[in-house]
Amino acid sequence: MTREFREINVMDSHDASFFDAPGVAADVIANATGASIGSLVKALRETRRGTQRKVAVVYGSSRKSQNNFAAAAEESDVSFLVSPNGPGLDGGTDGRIDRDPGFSLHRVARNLGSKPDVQTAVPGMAGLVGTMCEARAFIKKTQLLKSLQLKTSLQLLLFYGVACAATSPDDFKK
Amino acid sequence: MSCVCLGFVVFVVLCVSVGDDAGVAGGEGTDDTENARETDLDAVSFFAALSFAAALVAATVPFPQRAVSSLITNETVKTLGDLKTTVFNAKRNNRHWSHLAFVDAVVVDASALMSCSKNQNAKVAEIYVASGHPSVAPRDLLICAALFSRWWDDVSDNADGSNANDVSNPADQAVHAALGGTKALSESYVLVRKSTFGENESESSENAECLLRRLGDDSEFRVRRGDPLSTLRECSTDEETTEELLNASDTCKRAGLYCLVVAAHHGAVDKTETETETERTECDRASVSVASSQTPAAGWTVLGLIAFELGPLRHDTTSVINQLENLGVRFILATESDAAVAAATARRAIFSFRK
Repeated sequence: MTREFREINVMDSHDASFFDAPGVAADVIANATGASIGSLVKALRETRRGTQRKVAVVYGSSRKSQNNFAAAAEESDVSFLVSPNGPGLDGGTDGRIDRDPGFSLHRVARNLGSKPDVQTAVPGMAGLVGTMCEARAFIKKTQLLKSLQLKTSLQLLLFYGVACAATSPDDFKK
Repeated sequence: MSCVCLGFVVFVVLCVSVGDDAGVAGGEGTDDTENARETDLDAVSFFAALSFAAALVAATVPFPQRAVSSLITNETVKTLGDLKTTVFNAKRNNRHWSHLAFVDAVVVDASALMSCSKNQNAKVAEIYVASGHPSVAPRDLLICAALFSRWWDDVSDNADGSNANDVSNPADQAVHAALGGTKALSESYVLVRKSTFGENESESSENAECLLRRLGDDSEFRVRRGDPLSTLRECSTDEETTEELLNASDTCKRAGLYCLVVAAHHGAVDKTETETETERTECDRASVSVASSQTPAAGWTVLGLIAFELGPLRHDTTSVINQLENLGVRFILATESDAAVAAATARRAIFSFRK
């Protein structure tokens, strides 16, 4: 990679008040606790208020990880539980979106006819990124269809408008 | 529905107006040929009005986005039944699923990125023996660290006596691997009691103290294992040793290693307390744990420090974070480790693509 090296911004957190101010600029939060992660997510959401942008949290399947991210999951728009060593999307990844226990990546992938690169993806973060790409492609495709619809409709209207303006019923008489 | 009604109304109005024009025009002619031409004109006007109304409806009615998108993305849709099922499922899932498209910030637990594969355990990277104890060997520190886990007295049937697969703590995994199996320890020591020490609640998960009984002479002793700062604080030791181990700890942390300090207590153990302990319930043991954390630091000797190299990150972690950055998603790593370890871990693997 030819990217320019950027020094990692590490924040040392011991309590929730550390993140009270919105607009937290950090790459790594050290000494994170359940309260501080929840406060961090809350601060991140404050900066996105009124927009479509959302904040997601990803946590592991261990009890310690889930305890630490319980408050963050409540504060976030999307929470995602990953099992790092599962066999694959069939059983290894347990996606939980918007606190919906019935959600699973495998079901979504199956129902939406995902391409093999998503279905064979390794579980964990890769599953999240794959689903994120699918969702963005879905939105983009929807927007494309909307624009196509508008374009076709305008073309039809233009055609009939011009036809009506340029002709009269007498033109059809011999 | 209102758009469809609007289109229908426009269609009717156009038909009526065109029909009136045709009626007026029809009143002027009398022969059959002219009537036939007027009938053709009615048909043309009718289809023109129909097309115009259809165009109006197409322009105003919301597009069936989910159905069409699913139809396009799902190549297995061949029958009407498949289409209905697909549309139903898409409607059910789309509400949650499409939210991911708008995610632009992700807070990730470090453990979700770690590989916990059975053959990729943590390893002991460095062992620092305190200079004040020349008789203590590095292996003694490993044995002291290994005495904390109960798993070694529950040995599996493996030929080498290993049961590392049952161990979830990375430090225990590393110590087990460094000692090459701990079956011998299970035949020499019995773990009588295990508790925690430390003032902060967050520290207590890592700081452990245990009371052990040596099977040969039934003598009992205590050992502690915990993070350097709190262990050195809780176990009184001289300034020189403290400074030495803190320096070693800082060096290891900068290298991305996870450090534990090991200490032993050489004072006499109250026998009555030990005997009654074995009969206590789990609830009582919790109270003993609290009491144990308040024991005075006198009598403890810090033996040294063990630095662990934690399990590697998942093989796809770097590429995943790279993809997230390409997608414009802000990535924040949250970890319980302290700043030095967190920065070293992030610099080592997670943000390596930025170099």
